[in-house]
Amino acid sequence: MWKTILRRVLIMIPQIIILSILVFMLAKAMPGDPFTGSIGPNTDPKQIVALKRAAGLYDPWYQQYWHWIVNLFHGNLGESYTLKQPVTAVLGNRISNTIWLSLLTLIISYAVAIPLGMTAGRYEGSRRDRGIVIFNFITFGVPTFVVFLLGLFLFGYQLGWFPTTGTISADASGFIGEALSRLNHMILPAILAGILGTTSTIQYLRSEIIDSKSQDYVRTARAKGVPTNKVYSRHIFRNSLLPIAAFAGFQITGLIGGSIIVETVFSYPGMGQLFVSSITSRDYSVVTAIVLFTGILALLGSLLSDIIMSIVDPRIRIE
Amino acid sequence: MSEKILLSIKDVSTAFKINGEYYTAIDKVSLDLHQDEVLAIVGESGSGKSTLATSIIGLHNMNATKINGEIDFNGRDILKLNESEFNQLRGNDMGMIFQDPLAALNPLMRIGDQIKETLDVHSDMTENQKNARVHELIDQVGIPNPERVARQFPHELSGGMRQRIIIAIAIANKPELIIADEPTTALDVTIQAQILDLLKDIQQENHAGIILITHDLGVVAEVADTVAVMYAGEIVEQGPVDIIFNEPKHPYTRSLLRAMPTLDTENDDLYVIEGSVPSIKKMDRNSDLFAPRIPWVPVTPGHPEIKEVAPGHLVRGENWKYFKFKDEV
Amino acid sequence: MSVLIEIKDLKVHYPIRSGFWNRVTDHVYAADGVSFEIEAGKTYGLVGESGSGKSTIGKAIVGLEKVTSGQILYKGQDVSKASVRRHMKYNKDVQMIFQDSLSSLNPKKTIYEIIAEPIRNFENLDKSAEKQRIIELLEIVGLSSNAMYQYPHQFSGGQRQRIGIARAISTNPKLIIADEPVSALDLSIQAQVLNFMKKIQRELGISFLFISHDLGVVRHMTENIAIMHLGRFVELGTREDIYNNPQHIYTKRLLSAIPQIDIANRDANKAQRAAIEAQYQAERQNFYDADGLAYPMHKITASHWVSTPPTEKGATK
Repeated sequence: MWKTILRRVLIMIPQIIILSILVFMLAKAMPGDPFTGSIGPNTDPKQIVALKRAAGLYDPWYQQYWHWIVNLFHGNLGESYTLKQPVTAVLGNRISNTIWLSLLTLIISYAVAIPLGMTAGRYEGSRRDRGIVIFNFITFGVPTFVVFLLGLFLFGYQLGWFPTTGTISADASGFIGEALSRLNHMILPAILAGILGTTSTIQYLRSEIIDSKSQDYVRTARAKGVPTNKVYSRHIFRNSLLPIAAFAGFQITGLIGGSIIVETVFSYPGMGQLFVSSITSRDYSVVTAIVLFTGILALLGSLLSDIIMSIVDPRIRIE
Repeated sequence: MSEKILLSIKDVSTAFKINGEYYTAIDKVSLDLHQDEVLAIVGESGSGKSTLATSIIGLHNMNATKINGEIDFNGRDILKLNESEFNQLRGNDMGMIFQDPLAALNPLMRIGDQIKETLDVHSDMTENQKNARVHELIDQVGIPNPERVARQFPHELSGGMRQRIIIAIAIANKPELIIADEPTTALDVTIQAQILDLLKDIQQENHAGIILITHDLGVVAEVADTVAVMYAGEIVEQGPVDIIFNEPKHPYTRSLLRAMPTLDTENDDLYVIEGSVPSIKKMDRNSDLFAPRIPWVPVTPGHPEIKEVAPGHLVRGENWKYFKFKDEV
Repeated sequence: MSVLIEIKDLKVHYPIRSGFWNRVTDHVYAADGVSFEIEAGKTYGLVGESGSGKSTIGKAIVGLEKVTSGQILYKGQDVSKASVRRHMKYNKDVQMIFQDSLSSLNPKKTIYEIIAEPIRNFENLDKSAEKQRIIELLEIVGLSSNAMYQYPHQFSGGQRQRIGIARAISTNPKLIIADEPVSALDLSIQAQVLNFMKKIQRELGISFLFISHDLGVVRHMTENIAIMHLGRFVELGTREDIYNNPQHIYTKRLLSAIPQIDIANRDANKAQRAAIEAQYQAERQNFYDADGLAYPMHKITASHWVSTPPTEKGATK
């Protein structure tokens, strides 16, 4: 199995190279260059050309690309035009904020979706099942930002249960105090996004279970005299959760990529919010870095899914 | 064959709910199975033979199924048992062998664990005893290297090996009754021969009664002691295997035997039974359901009853007495 | 007697990839050096167990399987190449019938469209002539002309198999390859389809290659039979050669495994089967080479070929 995983990792290398070339081209295609902002109306055009030449902007694209890659490996992603800070410094905090929020969202989402999906699948056609299916339609149908805004208004402003902005309170101190404060800031957006994110998991799990129920191996288990509850826990649920587990890698990438709305509404300083603000302020070096990072994350997500799949499904294990 | 009656099926009817209405799949079936007997239930698709098997072992979805009648197994009417009482019986006193051995095994569970599961439910053996029994069973069904096979997954075994594992599961608790539903249909002929021999050996060892569900008359002729021929949910003829093959009476039994390619048919056309099996929704239970397939024979009104024509030989209706094939008329 | 198709040393190998670099480390020898001839208007049976490669050969002849090496000669040209097949309109002359009649018919198309497809591929008929042809074809296979507006799921297994036959004969082919055409059917429907195939074979003079694991059905249907094991032919001969005078141990074993309807001699048959199985296990190495594969075949009579060790003299096939 280790060989499979290692091979899978090696396949990622050309994927990442192609991704980086695409992102580089994208960055080059954007209007303006790093000097556009720092040049005054009285600057000598010759001086601009000299600066550009010094910066290598007239080199062939592959030299520029190489230069960019080398910088990338040194952790140098350029400088944010608007914040006047290295991109890495700007991104650093934001990435961890987003990852924590996404993880919490995913946990809440599974905590809600798995029991609901199991109940709906097991008691297919019952009143409970119909209720869950209706719940699913609602979470699928309502516009995300409306739910976020309503939640923020109700629980944040009206009831005052949760903070309405930021990641941590100014007065939090000590490791535990800070951690609790961070959690407190994440909990409302995570619950709302988590519940909205249950749709596909519930639907998928429900149909997997209904499908598994009529499988021959379930009949074999029943013919062995295995009690119904055990048939469900040992055969039906286990086998139905497999594709869900394998999908987790993609799920988390999707959440990180889709953090724009939730972070914007809750003024949560994560990558999604940064992405929106850097696009509006045309801070291209930050945009490029985020696109590259999300791209790599997507590749990692599919890698994670493949690894989980090869662990849980013996049919995929390759010597 | 011993004198002891193991299973006695009396007037069992099973109906399925389709779009809110119940349709009869098997109609007033009565059968006895003795200890040490191999009873073959033969029929084509739609004859109700698998429904009968599933009714005996109680594997129907009871929300959409109605079973009437009486099934006495060792003196108990098993149709009156609740789910947990039935679970005590299934896998312990009765075992089942299925048609498709790959689908019948959980792809994500090790072979050993799947056999052990039936011991977990029905025995109070220690873990070590169970493991030893699993290895013993794998060995008994003729698979070499039991320790290794117990750790493997179903996809790592061949079709014949998988069917042996299914048999190992069915016989793990030495059941008195084994129901085999098309056990060799998915297998090659050479493997089929081996599996049939294995079933016979196991039966002789355990003194079990076997109900063998099959559409393959060759398989019946090889292993059965008694045969029940089913058509459209009812038994049309029943008797000892040599009588059924050598002196078949009911027009359907005779038609089936004639439709089979044999040595003498090399250059002739095979006999074709006219028409087709009525669908479950269109069966008129007040008529002779096979009559439309032999339209040249005069129809007697009403539903024909099954009667004993010789000791142990039962035939439905009266028209067998004068039935002739078209080319014999 | 005219040879329709000649198969020469046909090999179909599938690569097995493994190891770290996923390189081709071995091959599955699905068909490994098979040669035979199909004569016009005759029937051939290809018998083997699952994994013997019998279906692979059928698919290779119609062009559904990529040939690794060897030749399939039709009218002097090697039709194992797709370009040659297209150029010659080869598949107008060679058609196939599949085992699973439901999945081999497009569920979203009417019977009319299903049968019309090969006609449109190879012939240029106007609308009314095309319709006329389809009505004729449905009549040949015993279905009413109303059937052409219906969909495959509205028919029973036997009817669908006959629709598959109507499609296969729509281009007036010279050879039909039937891959397990009746193994999914009940006995009474099987009889109907087999009779029917025999009838069109006789009346239209079509050659048949009948691929099956069922020795009873093959004996009923075909005059010439090849027994296949692990990608190679072990025995080839007329129906009488194979059933009355089998020479190869594998053929004997296969024949002995067929269930007999002979209640009185049941135990004797079982003992006979056990004896042949013991012989097979004991003599196996005499019939197969060091890799466990069958030797090339040698001619023992004008019609009968058997795979035997190379020490014996004779033409090989």
